[in-house]
Amino acid sequence: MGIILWQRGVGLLRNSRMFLLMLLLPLLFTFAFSNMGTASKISIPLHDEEGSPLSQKAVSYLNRSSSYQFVPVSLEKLKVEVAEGRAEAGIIIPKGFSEGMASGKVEIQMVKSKDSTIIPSLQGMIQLSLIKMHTEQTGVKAILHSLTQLGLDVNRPQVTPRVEELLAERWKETLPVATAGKTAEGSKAFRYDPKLQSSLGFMLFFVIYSIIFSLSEMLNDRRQGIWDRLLISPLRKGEIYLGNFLYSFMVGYGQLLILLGASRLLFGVDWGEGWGPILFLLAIYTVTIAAFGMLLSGFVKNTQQLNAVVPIFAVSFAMLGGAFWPLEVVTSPWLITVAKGIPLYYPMSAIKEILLHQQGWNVVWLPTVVLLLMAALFMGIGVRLFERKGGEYR
Amino acid sequence: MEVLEGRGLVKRYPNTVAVDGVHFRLRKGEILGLLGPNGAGKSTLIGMLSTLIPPSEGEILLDGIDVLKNPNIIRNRLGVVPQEIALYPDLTGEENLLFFGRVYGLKGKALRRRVEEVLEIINLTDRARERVGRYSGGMKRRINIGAALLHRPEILFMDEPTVGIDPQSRRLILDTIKDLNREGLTILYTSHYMEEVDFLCDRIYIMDHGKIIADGTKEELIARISNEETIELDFERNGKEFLPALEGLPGVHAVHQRGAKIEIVVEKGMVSLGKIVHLAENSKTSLLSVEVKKPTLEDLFLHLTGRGLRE
Repeated sequence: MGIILWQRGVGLLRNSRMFLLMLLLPLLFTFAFSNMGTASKISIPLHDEEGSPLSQKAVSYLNRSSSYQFVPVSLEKLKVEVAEGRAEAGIIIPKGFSEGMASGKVEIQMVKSKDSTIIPSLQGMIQLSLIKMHTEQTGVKAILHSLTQLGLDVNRPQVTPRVEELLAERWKETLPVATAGKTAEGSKAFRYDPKLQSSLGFMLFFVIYSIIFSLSEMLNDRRQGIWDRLLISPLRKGEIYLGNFLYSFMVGYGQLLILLGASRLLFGVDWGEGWGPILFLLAIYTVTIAAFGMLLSGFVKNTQQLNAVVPIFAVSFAMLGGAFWPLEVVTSPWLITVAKGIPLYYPMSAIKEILLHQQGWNVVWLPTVVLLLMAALFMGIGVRLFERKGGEYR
Repeated sequence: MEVLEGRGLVKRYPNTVAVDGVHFRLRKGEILGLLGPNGAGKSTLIGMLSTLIPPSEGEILLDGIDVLKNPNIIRNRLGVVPQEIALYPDLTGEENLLFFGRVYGLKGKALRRRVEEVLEIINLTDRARERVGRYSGGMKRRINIGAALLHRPEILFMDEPTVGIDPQSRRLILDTIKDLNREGLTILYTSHYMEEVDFLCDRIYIMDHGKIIADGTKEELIARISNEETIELDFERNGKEFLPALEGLPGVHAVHQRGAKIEIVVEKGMVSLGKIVHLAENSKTSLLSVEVKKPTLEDLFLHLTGRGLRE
């Protein structure tokens, strides 16, 4: 088995372009989808009926969200955008907003489309933003009042903004950053971190190529007659399969580890503190994709055919499994059911659970069992088909 | 003494019988030639003997021990040179040999020493550190042979090891095979090239449609058709009636046309050249040359199978 790994390793060093490309592409895509300003935020039209300094401040608070971009529009346009489905919801800051803030009873009106899935998250986010603003404003007032009591002149123009700034900085360290709580139904609210979504999604997507292409060396061996040469050697068949499988695993897992580190360093993706469950899930996912590669290798005759089918499956997995967009925005129950048959769905959703909902090993076990069952099935059928195809070659 | 024996070997596939009841004996120290056209079943037979393909029926014995029940007993004693260049093109010649040496359990200094020896045998010491993908066809063939020699096999199967190479490389390979045999290696050699079999082999099996249709030494085989001779005609223009007329001549056993050439297998002394020329004139065939050939293995093959080896 070691000798198979040695040969594959030397081969990889001498033909590393594909591997490097599969390292570079997920980073480029992560950059494009998560670091290009607000392109990946959900746009929400907003109409400010009051137009006061406080209501404008409220808009700036809302726009601190990493998930939503609030775009000021006329009331007419807001209604049209929601009615025509160009926006999932619209926000109206009513007249009397400032008085409401002073009395602690604020009413924000929301215009929403019938099928919108973002409402609980949006409501939670608005609520938290306004609470934060109210708390900060109350704090600023209290500080300014204290300073006046101490005989300091707080009417100079730079004092109030500076106090607000210092207070905001201080609270950044202490207030929760998460922007959602529980909805009325009690289900978990949709949380969306574009950096995490794109980084994890593209990582899991592109690694499919590396894993399966590395396994395709078996097809080359079969075409060149090397496979037969190994079969009649004292090496056991199991060792030959295991060597190839292990190589494929090492390439895939190595790529995932590099991408984890690189996305953290380059884009500041927060992978949390507890790496154990994430690394474990990624390892299980790599095994499953390698087994899926074995299944595909069993079906195809040569690497050309494999090269043709891998993108079809990889892109389908990514689209259905939630790599390209969060599955929370998918409304079709049928597609949600299909997603559960896709290996990529499990690490994608479990890792997001771990990072966005502060979960741990408890969310790892079920995906692990499902992925391992898939791997066993893929591997069993794949090896059988590969053996049969090998016979056809002779 | 037989070192390897196949008894009643059959290999059936869903739509064909590739090997059909073959009895096979390989004697210690000999070079046995296995001749046959494409699709005759040679590679399937080699596959079965080397434990790669399980036979549908029959048994294979190595020194009297059942190989099918104990495949490992043959794997350390057998080297196989496949028809394909079964090597990694991205590795150097030396690395390929190191790889296959380790596959056969060689390690460390012993492996290094053996690789050097094999490189000398196949005359590639100077080019050992170049990638195989950059080798010429002849060099690839030589490394392909070398990879089968690393573990010092007692038996070597060579499945058309000289396909597609220049005459100089072929000569070098044939000489190497002779030398290996002189050192005691037992060889089963398949080829399309009659002259190679003629040069190398002590005994010959002729195979067609999955069966051994003749076996013996070259002399024994040719003696089978010693009462025949072959007349070869080159023509420029061929009349329609010429071939049927030739077939109708008394003493003519077979007539084969290949392009602008006709081969007539006749009973010795029964057909005169004058008759043939006369028939050609009558059927408006213009002949360029007429030659009477001594029987060769090729003629025997043609006689037995009705087709040429490379058809």
